[in-house]
Amino acid sequence: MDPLLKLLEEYKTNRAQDNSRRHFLHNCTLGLGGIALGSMLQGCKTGENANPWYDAQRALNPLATLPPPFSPKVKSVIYLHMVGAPSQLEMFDYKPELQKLHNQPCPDSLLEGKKFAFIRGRPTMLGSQAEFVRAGQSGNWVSNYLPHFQKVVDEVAFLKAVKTDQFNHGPAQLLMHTGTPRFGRPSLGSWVTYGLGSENQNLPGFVVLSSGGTPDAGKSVWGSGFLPSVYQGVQCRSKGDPVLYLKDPNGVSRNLKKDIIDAINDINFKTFAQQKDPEILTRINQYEMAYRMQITVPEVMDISTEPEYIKELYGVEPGKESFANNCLLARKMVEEGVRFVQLYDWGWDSHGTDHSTAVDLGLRNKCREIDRPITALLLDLKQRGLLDETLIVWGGEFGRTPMQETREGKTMKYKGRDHHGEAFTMWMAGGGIKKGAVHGATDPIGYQSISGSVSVHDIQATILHLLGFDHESFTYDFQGRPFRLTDVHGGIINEILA
Amino acid sequence: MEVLVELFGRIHPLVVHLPIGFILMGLLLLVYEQKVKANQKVLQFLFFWSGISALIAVFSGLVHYNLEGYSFESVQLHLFFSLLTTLLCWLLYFRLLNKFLPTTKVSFFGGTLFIALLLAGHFGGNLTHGDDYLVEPLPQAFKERLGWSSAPKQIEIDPSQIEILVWYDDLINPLLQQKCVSCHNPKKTKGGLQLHQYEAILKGGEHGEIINFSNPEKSAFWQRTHLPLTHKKHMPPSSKTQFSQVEMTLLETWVKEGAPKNDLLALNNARALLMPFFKSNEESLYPEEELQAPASTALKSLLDFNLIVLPVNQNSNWLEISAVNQPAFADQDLEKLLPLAEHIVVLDLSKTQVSDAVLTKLQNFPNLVVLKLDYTAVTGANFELLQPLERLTFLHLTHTLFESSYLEKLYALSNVKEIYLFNSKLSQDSASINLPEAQEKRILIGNFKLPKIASDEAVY
Repeated sequence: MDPLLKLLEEYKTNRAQDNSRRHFLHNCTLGLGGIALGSMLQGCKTGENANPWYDAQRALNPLATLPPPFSPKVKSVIYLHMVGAPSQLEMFDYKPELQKLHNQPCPDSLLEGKKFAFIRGRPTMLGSQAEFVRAGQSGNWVSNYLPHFQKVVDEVAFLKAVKTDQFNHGPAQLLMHTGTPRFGRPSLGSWVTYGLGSENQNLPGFVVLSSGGTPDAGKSVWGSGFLPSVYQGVQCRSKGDPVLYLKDPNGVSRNLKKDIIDAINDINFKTFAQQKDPEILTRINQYEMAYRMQITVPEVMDISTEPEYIKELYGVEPGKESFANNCLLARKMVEEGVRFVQLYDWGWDSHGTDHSTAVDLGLRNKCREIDRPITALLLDLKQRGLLDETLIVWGGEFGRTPMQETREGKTMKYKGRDHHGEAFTMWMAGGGIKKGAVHGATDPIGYQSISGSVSVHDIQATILHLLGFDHESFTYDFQGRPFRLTDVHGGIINEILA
Repeated sequence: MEVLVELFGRIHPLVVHLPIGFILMGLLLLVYEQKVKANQKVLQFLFFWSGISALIAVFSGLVHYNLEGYSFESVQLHLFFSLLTTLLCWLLYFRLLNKFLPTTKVSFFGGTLFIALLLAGHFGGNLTHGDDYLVEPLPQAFKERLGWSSAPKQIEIDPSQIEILVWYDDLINPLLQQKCVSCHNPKKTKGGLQLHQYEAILKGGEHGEIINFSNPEKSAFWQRTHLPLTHKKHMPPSSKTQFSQVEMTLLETWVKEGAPKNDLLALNNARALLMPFFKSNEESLYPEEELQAPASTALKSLLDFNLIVLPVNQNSNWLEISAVNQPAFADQDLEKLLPLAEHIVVLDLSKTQVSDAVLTKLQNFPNLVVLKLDYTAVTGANFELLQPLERLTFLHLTHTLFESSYLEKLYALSNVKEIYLFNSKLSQDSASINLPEAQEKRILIGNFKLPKIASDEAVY
């Protein structure tokens, strides 16, 4: 025998001899008592379902539906994220005073102690480039960039003073969707899918649809973090293959695929019979789900079969990748029982560096691209009786400054605004939301909040609340402690709840 | 000297406890004396000092009443029973000395004194702690039965009443009653200001009028409520419940409008202003009563049939059933649900094979709240069968074969709040269906359109 191996063998034998029965009893009695006590007290259980019967379901299928802790107001969420941060001052936050100060130099008091992403030196104030009207019966302000949306303004509740402490896109997006500006935490949709499971067994419980590009923070904004990866968002593309690598490879028929999966599952079942490891069942389940999705996902993702008047309502362009298509898809998904639909629309970073990012040009085009689809989505959900059981959230990762951006201290050719997290606008609509409500207000130039400031964690707590969770007790044990989406922050925004 | 007088008045709440102690001690001894002969001298001593301390309490009370601005109506009962208590103490004392009505039983004086003391104490407590101090913690249902229900914590407005609301009575007075009147009333008049009546508000306080009609924002009322919370003069005091943002807006608007009394809210943004106060429909969607847990064998068999069966929440026994994963669900399959019929509050049979025949068995589900039959072949022909379902509130019939000739049957389902008929046979038949006004609120046919507008095509 190799002398080194022999030495190793001898070492192992000695180690094993140390662990004698006498040694075990001597050293571990207290520990054994502790284990026994723990199982009697059940005191250290965290984040587990109260109903063991449903736990058993979960052991077989990680996406099995679970009842929420409290009766929910909504069953599904459609989250519309405008990647890049839309300008609240051109859309919802009407500031006539700012108009009067247009082109005047920004006073020191607004700049002292502040850090901007791009503004250097002394910028000038930039009045809103849009015209505002009071819309609907609620008389809430909406700009002329969103003429269709004015018709459904009574359905939504505005948060006019959302605050974030991140002023760069990636971290701010992570904060908005995972509760922390750093990588590694599960996203909102993952938490919800983990907590409630997925209704339609042929579709993912958490679907991501993007138009224009991927968010700056990458796929982590729909990642599952430390939750099992089955809860991460499934990105579906409205152009080409809906789900990548789901289609059978060339030359493999669906029957052959079925045979392959059956054979693999057969082996897995045999292993399970020996090992009794529930992870094996999870894997079997995943294979079967993928097989079922091969049929259903392309069906649901095909909008060309929708009637003409629905296509007109949303203004869709079948075969292309567009926000309008994604809105229609979101409605279809929710109708089919998908729990969480996350939409990302790229191109809202209105710095004014070129035509497409000017608040009076490019931004207006972006608003046109979302105006009809969002209005259509609200109306379509309403006529299908789905608006009452769906929550729609609209927002960006932060807002924009009332000052014109002066990148590196230079005056710019186009009108743009820098990143601004102190106070920006978001809105929610749907089940459990107080229609026509406005919570929060900003100062006369829309720079700081003067009342009703809410944090990103408050928004997350409110979304979880509407789904039937208490954000403080909805936890997952990881690295020795329970984690929650809202960390140690967050409160429910009762002012916008019906 | 004034200070001493005021101090004397202010020790009233302390002093009153002395006679209470003495009297109770004396009464206990009186009872005890009936068994064991206690010392008459001790009894006399106790009631003598009861009388003395009661007199001190009465005088300090009178001083207190004069200096703190209580109204006579509010203290009269307390004063009456306190005087009666004092009087009875002395009568009892003289009876014990056998100098007064020697034939009357001592226990008669004792009993009356006890009752007088209780009442004096109770009405005194009401002055400091408020009239509803004792009953406040009782369960709301209990209070309502006895007719004691206290005023709602928030003003609530019925949206349909919005055109007939008057400023003071319907909006401002309820707000002031909740947040101001406890310190600014005839009983307790801090800063000489009373806010319990419209006339009193106009009169103002010791620093003059609180509403400035020519310059609303200079009004003391406006300024004191707008000071930072940490400011000493901020109203309501920082330790008390504050006005919410929407309430402040309402008060501001009122002052700006010239503090009207009986005027209607003739504002074009009245609806926006009042929307936050609209009655919320907080009532639970599902029945409130407790129910036995469903039989697990019945649950198991439904799960094996690939239905989603879920309690509405983790601690509920009410069930939600969905056939989203069982598109083959047919009329006769409803029988499988019968063992759990009592438990089911939500039944979603959308996109299944069910037809009109399914209605015949639905009346066995007495607690149904939500019924979804979207994308099925139901026509409405036998919808009178839904009549017995008293709890049915939401009826989803989109994309069905529902025919307009059966609309009457829907009108008759008076407890159903929302009915969805989008894209049913009815909405395809005729472009316009005129629903009676009462039904328009409940029945939604949809077919929403967004007209093309010029900006749809404009590229900037």
